[in-house]
This record gives sequence, structure tokens and C-alpha cells, in this order.
Amino acid sequence: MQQEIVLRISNLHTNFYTNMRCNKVLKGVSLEVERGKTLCIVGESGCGKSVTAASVMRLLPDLARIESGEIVLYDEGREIHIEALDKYGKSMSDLRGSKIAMIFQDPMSALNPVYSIGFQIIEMIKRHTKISASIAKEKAVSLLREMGISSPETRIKDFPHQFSGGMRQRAMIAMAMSCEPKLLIADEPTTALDVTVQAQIFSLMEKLKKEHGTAVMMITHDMGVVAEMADDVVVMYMGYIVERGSVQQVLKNSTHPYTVGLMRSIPMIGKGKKQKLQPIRGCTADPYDTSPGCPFVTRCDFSIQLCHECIPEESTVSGNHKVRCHNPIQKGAVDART
Amino acid sequence: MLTYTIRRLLIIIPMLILASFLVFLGLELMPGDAVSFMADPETLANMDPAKLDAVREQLGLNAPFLVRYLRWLSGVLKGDFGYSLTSGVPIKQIVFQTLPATIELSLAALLFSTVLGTILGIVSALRRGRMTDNVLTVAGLLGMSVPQFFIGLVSLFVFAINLGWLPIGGRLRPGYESFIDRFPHLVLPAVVLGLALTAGVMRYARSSMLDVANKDFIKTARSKGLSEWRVNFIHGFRVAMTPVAILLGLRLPTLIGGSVVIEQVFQWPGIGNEFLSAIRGQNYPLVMMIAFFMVLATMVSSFLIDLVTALLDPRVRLS
Amino acid sequence: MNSMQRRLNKKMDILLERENSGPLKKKNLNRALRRALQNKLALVGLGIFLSIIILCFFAPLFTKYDPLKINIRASLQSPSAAHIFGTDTIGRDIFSRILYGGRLSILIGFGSAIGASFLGVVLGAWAGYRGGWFDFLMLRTSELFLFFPQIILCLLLVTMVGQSVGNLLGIFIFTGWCGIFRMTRARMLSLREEEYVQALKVLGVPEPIICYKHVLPNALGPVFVNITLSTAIFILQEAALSFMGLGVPLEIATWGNILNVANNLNILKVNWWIWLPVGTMISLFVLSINFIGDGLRDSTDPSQQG
Ligand SMILES: Nc1ncnc2c1ncn2[C@@H]1O[C@H](COP(=O)(O)OP(=O)(O)O)[C@@H](O)[C@H]1O
Ligand SMILES: [Mg+2]
Repeated sequence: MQQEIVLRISNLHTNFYTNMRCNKVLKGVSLEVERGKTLCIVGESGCGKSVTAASVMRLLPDLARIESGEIVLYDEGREIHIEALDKYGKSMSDLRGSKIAMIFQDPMSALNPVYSIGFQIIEMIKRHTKISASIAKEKAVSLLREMGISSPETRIKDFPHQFSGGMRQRAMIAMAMSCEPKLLIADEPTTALDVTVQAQIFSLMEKLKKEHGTAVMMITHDMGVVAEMADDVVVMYMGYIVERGSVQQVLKNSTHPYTVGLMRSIPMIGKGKKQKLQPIRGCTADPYDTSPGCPFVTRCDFSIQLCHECIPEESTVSGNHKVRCHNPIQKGAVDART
Repeated sequence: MLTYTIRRLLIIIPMLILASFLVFLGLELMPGDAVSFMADPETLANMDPAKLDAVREQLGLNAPFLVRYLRWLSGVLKGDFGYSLTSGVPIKQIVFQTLPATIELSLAALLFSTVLGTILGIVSALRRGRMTDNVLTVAGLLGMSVPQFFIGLVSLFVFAINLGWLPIGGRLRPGYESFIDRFPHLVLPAVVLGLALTAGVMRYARSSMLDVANKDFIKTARSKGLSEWRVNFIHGFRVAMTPVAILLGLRLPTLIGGSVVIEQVFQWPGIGNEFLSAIRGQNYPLVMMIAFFMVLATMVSSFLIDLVTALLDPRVRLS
Repeated sequence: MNSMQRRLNKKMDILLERENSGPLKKKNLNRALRRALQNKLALVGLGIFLSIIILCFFAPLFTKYDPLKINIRASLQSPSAAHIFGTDTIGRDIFSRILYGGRLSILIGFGSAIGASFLGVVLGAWAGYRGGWFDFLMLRTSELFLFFPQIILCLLLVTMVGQSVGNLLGIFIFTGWCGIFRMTRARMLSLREEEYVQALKVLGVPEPIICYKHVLPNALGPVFVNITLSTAIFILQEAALSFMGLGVPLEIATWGNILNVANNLNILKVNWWIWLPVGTMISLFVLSINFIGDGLRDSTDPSQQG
């Protein structure tokens, strides 16, 4: 099957200008999301995952902007350069919701508390399609049913606070899927939910992805989620993408010391009680730090002299598997250490 | 909504009973003989002192405290508020003569400050950090700081005395009693009475709008592709109004209390002026009854504002 | 939207250039201080506040007139070199009355604010910490107080107990504690769930000590801001009551009492110097307190990021 790319980000730089400083949050992010596949973005908090999503949606706050790079959406043969659109313009808001939809971490705060669930879904349908109110309502009901909400005809009149956490996120997904977007961005969609609900939401997303061929860009800091959901993975650290490739390549054959560290620091099911967890030592560097070397160097066990001098360029490990490291770990070296 | 209304009523009614009890307690503790305001003064004047005891007995003034209270309360509920000590006029008549003027003044001030305060608050929030915002912020603090009666004096001095644009005081001239004729009299007192509340509403509306602008559901609304207008007004404004409505409810007592001072400055013939002259004349029964009516007015209006809040925000009515 | 966008872009360009042109000089001022300095209003407020306090409390240095000395021959003089704000109906020097009157007005304002805050904090801390019937009772009481227009309640109480400075102070404290009570109570309600409180309980520390010594200090931040703001409110209230002739006895000079004569339309019309300077003084003083209070609130509120 021919791979069909839906979104391509290349060399994206985004800066924040809050507190009278310039904070370079994204420093060259490149990634691709394919139709019917899930791309997971992992990394610790503050590394720029949400900012990447906000850049794609053009929903950055006022004091932030895209400095350079490309964000291209491929839609039925057209190439739409998102970074070149006016963020308040009509052509951008036409894309939001209809081509790219987004769901957020906390469905309680992401839904407007004073409007019913139905109102909020129907509002979105009516924004992007020219159908009558009653048909929009039917559509909203059938969407909610598809998301596994029982008796949607009555629940549609309920307000967000009358739903449980899992149901709210289902309603959010229903809303996001209502205009059949090409790309669904999910920013830590289950962090605020408990584990059983988490699994239900993931299988729902899996089903939607299969049935509608939606491309999913899933943001998470949980390697377990990555292992379960991802087709492709990008690992972010301090605004850089340090490693990317298919889930097999990145998880089973990690080459960047940070990825390796991430894998070690989480418990793996099946390895038993005795598994040794190793947190990554040190802590995230100051984002305003302007020293020339690799941002991970102070926490890295494999650093060489070059690491202190310049930031590594992205190099290819094999095929689509790329890493940004002067001294990538060879296959086998990891096993030798453990 | 109905359950919410009933629930609010269940809170209000005991409060009202308690307030009435306090008023009665005040009446009992005030110096003077209760007979003098409970009985019709004309019959009282032509009565020989020996008979007074019989009247007392008849009015139940020798009964136990609680019985007296209940009897007084049932009288009040039937519209028997007693008699003014100084003029002998039934208090009911005084209240019904002066209350409409006060309601007119307070409502006008409430309307003025809600509308203006909200608009200015939104403008200030949308232009945050810019000149307009800074000027409005200082103006808001000024509105909270200058004593209302002083603003009243200055505005009388400027607009009524020196410029002559508006009448100096009072509510109407005989023969010119339609609302249009009365309106010029209403402008200054209502604006002055409303200024402090306008400042409060403005500050609240501003910070509430800014607060809401950072909320996730605003991001959701944008991510749905809605227009900026819809995002700000259908999603932002409606939510931002809940705290403002709550503030209005909390500030109502201050507004109603402020009307006493403003009525004095502008010689507005309302219940507040009546209250002051009753206090100066040590006309205690009238003082207590008017205080009771003011509390009643506050409770009824904050009940109404609570209902508005509940209409605005389902979390309030369904919690 | 467009001009705003352009303005923002320009600002961002400048910042970007500054960042790229090399490392910034280290700023020595610490952040809180810098933020306080940025708040120009609070500084202006502090300046006005201190000037008025000094003027009033060192009044003999600034005026040679006795505020109570009646001089019928010099009545209703307009401002001149001798009497910079003129004289009142019975020839007392207005400037000195404003300064000496300010002492009392300010003391009443602060005294009531501190008294009411103290009462509110003590009751609110215990109610919030213990809950139960005491909390229920106090909560209902405070609701009742909030329904009463405060000025009406003050007027009622003044008629009952009579006019005097002490009575007024007592009345203000008695009618003004609810706001702080509710604030402290709400903070205590959430703080009492913290784990260290449970730990202290397990250790057998007496409840009042946990409540007042260990938990209450964490609830006090907003209370201090509120003391400034309620001082402003009490000063305004004293002025209003005295203006109506029902506050401090008229023969004692306070800001409100000086204004009392402005009830006379003729004085309002002709003798502006009697009421305009003192009204301005009250406004300036209350404004300065509100500026300071606003600045304090901003600097203690972590959600206010520039
Ligand atoms: N609203 C904001 N204001 C200022 N800085 C921000 C803002 N949002 C994000 N940042 C900066 O961007 C960095 C990345 O944030 P984010 O993308 O939200 O992290 P995460 O990977 O946890 O989603 C943060 O460390 C912070 O420095
Ligand atoms: Mg995030």
C-alpha cells in the first residue's frame, strides 16, 4: 500500500516572547503523519509537545509566533501551507475543525460549562457544513451513539458537568470527528482519566482511525501509551526532535541516549517485580541557556567532546529511522550494559 | 430551575423571619411606650390615662414576648405596620408614598452601572496593557475611592448650579409628572449612585474576561474553527458574566444603602430621606420599619439576581 | 485586530534581535521587587499615602491654627495667604481642620479595619477549621449581616447607642467582620485537608494550636490585602455618616464632619473652599490606599504574569 502523507512539518521554529524575553521553544521540529496511522510525540513536560500542536492549529498565544519552517497539509492533491496563513483569517479557521481537529487533556475544562453537549457538537457541524439544524442534531446523536454513549437522544441535552470524565472525553472525540477531519490531534487525551477509561478511549480512537482513515497525532509522555498505540514515534527533548522512526525502530532499537533513558525509567509489564528502574539523572536545562552544545549533554552518559561544542544534525540510522546525536548507541550496546 | 428557585426561597425565608425578629427586638428595646405607635394616635389623644391600660391589654402588650412578636408579625403581614410617632400617619402610608421613588432611583443606578460597567470591562480586557486599559483601570479605582456624596456635591455644583443643565434636586415639579419630565431629575442621582458599582462591575468584568480568555474551552472553540466573534461572545462573554452577576448580588445592599446618602444630597423624596429624618426625630418605630423594608428589598432583589445567575450558568442551577 | 498584530510583531522582532545579539546582562533586582517597581500606581499610591499621613500626624509643623478655635469675625473667608483653604462658617481655619480631622478619620479607618479583620480572622479560622454547628451558626449570621445594607445597620446602631468616636469604632467592627470572616473560612476549609494537619492531629497537638498557630498563617496572605481595602471602605463610611450628621459628634473635627455644612445649598454654591479641598483630600487618601491594595494584590497573585 502506498503511504499517503497527511501532514508534514519541516524544520519548525517557534518562539515565545513572554516576560520580555525570547524563549526559543521549538528549534527545528520535523515530522510526518500518515493517513490511517498514529504518530506519537513523546517527551517530558515542557519539551514543546503542546506547542507543536498549537503551531499546527495556529492557536499559539498572542506573544508567540512561528519563526521559520513549513507546516504542510496535504488535502486531496492540494498542498496547504499552514504557516503562511493568517492565524485569524477565514482560510485558517475553515481548516480548523473540518480538516484538522483537536482534543485536549482535560475534557472538563475543554468543554464550555454553560452550553449543553449537543449545542457544542451541533455548533461545530453547522460551522463547516450547510445542513439544517434538525439534521445536524440527528448527526450529533448518531455520533454520540457511535462513541458509545447510551441513550444519546437525552444525554445530548446534558451539560458537561453532568457527564463522567470518560463520557466527556467521548463527547470531545465525537465533536472532533463530526466533520470527518483528515488529521486528529490529541494532546494527552487520557492523562486526566483513570486507567480503565483510558483503555476504552484508546480502543475507540483505534476504531475511528481504522474506519475513517484519520491520521492521528497523539501527544503523550507515557511510553506505555506509545507502545500500545503508535505506528510512528517522535521523541522530543527541549524543543528538538532527538529521534524518530517507526515504533519498532524507536522502541526496540533506540539509538539516542535520551530515548534509552526513557525506556529504562518506566516499568515494563511482564518483566516482573525485580526489574530495575533507572530514572534519567539530572533535570531539564534552563530554556534560556545559550551554551552551544547538545541540550542533553549534562545528563548524558555517552557524551563525547564534540557534544559540548555543537548541536548534532539529524542523521539516518536506517530507512526512516533518524536520530540527532553525535554518539548514537549501537544496537547491542544497550543490552551489554544491563 | 424550579427546584433551584424553591431551594433559594428556602434559604431566604428563614433569613426574612430572623430579620423581622431582629426588627421587633429593636422596637422593643427602643425607648418609648409601644402603645404610642401601635394604636391610632387620634383615639389615643382623646383617651383618659386610666383607659390606657385597657388598650394595652387589648393590644396584647402585656402578653409574653413571643406572643407579642407573633401578633406583630401577623399584623405586618396584613399590612399593619403601626403609626409614625411624630406625625401619627400610618407607617404603611409613608412607605408606599416614598418607596417607588427609591426603587426608581436604585433600578436606574443598577441598570446604568451594569450596562456601562460591563461594556467598559470588556473594552478594557480586549485592549489589555494599552492606554485605554490603563486609563480605565485608574478611572475604576477613582470611582471606588471618591466618596459618593462628594461626587454628588461636585456634580450638583458643576452640572446643576454652574452649567444649569440639570435640575438641582427633587424628583418632579408639580404639573410635570410624566417620566419624560421626571427624567432630568433622575439623571444625576442615578449616575452618582451607580458610579461606585460601575467601577466594581468594570473591574470584575475585565478580570473575568481575561480569566476566561485563558480557559481551555476557548481554545476548543477556536479549534472548532469558530469566528473570533463567536469565540469571544458566545463562548467567552456568557461564562464571564457569571461572576459579574454574583458580584451584583453581593453589592446590592451597598447600592440600596448608598441611596440613603444620595437621596439626602439630591433631596430625592425617597424612603432613605424619610429614614434619615426619622432617625433625627427619634421616630423609632418608623426607623425600624424602614430598615426592615430595606432589608426586604435587598433580599428580594438578590433573590432575583440569583435567578438570573442560575439562568446564565447551568452549574449554579443544577449543583 | 490587524494593528494589534502588527504592534505585537514589532515587539517580538525587538526581543528576538536582543536575544540574538548576545547574552543579556544579568539583572540584579530580584523579581518581586522588579514587579513592585513596575507597578507605578502602587508607588504613586505609597507616595500620596505617606505624604498625607505625615501632613496629618505632624500637623503642628504645617499649620499654626487651632482647628477648634472659633473666630466669628473671620468667618467664611475665601482662601488667602493667611488661611490657605479659607475659613468656615464660624471662622475656624479649614486647612488646619483638614489636617487635624485627618488624624481621627485615618485612625478610625485603620482601627476599624484592624479590629474587624481580627474578629473576622479569629472567628473565620475556627469556623473553617472545626466546621460543625459553630461554623453553621456563624455562616448564617454572616449571611444575615451581608443582606443588611451596612450603612443602614450603622445608622440603626448609632441611634441605639448614641454618637461618639468609641461607639463608631465599635459599630464599624461589629458590622464589618463578615467579609474577612468568609474569606478566612474558605481558605481554612481547604487548608484543613492538608496532610500536615492530619499529622499534627495524630501527634496530639491541641486543636486550637493547630488551628491558629499552624494552619492560620497560611491563610493570611489575602487577608492583609483586605485590611488595606477595608480601611478605605471604613474611611468612606465615616465620611458618609458624618456628612449626614450621624457619625462622629459634630464638634470634633473629622473629614466627614467638615463636609457636613455642604448640606446647605448656599454654602455649596458660594463657599466652595469649605467642601472641595476636604473632599479632594478624602478621595486622594482613599485612592492611594486602593492603589497600594491593588498593587499588593497583583504581586501576591501568581496568575498575574506580564
Ligand atoms: N503560554 C505560555 N507562555 C509562556 N511560555 C510557554 C507557554 N506555553 C508554553 N511555553 C513554553 O514552551 C515550553 C513547552 O511547553 P509545552 O509545549 O506546553 O510543553 P509540553 O511538552 O509539556 O506540552 C515550556 O517549557 C514553556 O517554556
Ligand atoms: Mg502539554
